[in-house]
Amino acid sequence: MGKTDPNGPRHKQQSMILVPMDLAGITITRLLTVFGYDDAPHGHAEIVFDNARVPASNVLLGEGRGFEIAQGRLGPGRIHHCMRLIGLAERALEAMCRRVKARVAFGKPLAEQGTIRADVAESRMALDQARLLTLKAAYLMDTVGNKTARAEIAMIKVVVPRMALRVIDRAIQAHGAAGVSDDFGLASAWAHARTIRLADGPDEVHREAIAKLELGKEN
Amino acid sequence: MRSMNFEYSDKVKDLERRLAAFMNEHVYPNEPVFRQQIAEGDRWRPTPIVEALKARARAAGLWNLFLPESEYGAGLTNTEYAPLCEIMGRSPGFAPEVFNCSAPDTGNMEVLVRYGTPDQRRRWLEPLLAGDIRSCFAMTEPDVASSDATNIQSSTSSPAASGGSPARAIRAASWRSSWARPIPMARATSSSR
Repeated sequence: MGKTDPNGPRHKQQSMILVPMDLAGITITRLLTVFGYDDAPHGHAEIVFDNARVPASNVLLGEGRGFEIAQGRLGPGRIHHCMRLIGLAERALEAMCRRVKARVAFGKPLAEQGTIRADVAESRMALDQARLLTLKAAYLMDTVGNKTARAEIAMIKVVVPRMALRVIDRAIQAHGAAGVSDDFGLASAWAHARTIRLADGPDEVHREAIAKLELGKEN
Repeated sequence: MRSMNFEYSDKVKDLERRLAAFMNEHVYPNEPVFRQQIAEGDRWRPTPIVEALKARARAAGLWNLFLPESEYGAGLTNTEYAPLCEIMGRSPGFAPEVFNCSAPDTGNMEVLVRYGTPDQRRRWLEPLLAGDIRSCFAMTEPDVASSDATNIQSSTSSPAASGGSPARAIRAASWRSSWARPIPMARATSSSR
């Protein structure tokens, strides 16, 4: 996405263009890490486009219509991120339950200790809440469209990563030092979930959208 | 609140059962293999294990489940896709690609289905749907607050408008692809510093 008309109306300045990666003028200058993970073979790169030339027919939809495409693209993208994170959080909670049943401290299994049991309950409650809200958003997208479902899409985009981070964090805590190693996949799961608070719009943008809709009602 | 029915159809229950079985048989046991192949080979090349499992998932009909348009994908609604996407999310960085349901390819394929010309679809959408190429999305930039997308500085211009002179650099933190295929170049420019 880039500006084709810097002097046009604010949301008509940008266009989306299809670009093959082996085009002259494209250089991958750096491969970035996320909390130390390079996420190979997918990865995250800083890319310089220096006078890279493509045919005019590579413009998507038409010049100045980048924002219009982004509006259509991001609804499904956001809810898919949320669905995947719910699965990741479920797996972390399963790992936590296995772990606390297998480990003994201070004379009894971790699974019989009150704070651990409370953590398990917190994770189950948060997971089911987040899933139900996500299903509601999905249902509204299916029945009344992404535009009408925009409040719910914004809500799950904040609620689900926040939930997943808490659930994974409790699982890490229950695993002790092993939880922050690479042996149980929990550290990388947390790192991944943390990125989703930024991907497809940071929490701040979504909370602003929700507040705007709420304050726009007849209160 | 409107009445909402989250009961899954028989079609979805069947997909859910087959997807979970595929994960148990082929994905979870191969997570260490995936990590090992990345560690041993060229880290930025597709791994043999993902390629092998893609073929298997496609043959099993567990392919492009994300795409609502039934002409190309499984024709599922968002509500129907939810339990399936959740299962894939259990193995991040690995399972979604096995089923050709990984970001940002899914969003890019949706854009091409919705807005692509017949020629753009032939060149980009078909190989993406087949899992033959991967895609990235270049948007955020290091020098501006990209959460406000109107800040984006990368510029594109047509030679007719700008005399072909370079404008500014697109520096984008994005997903990269190892597999993009060459296409002939011609007019309009995509930008530069």
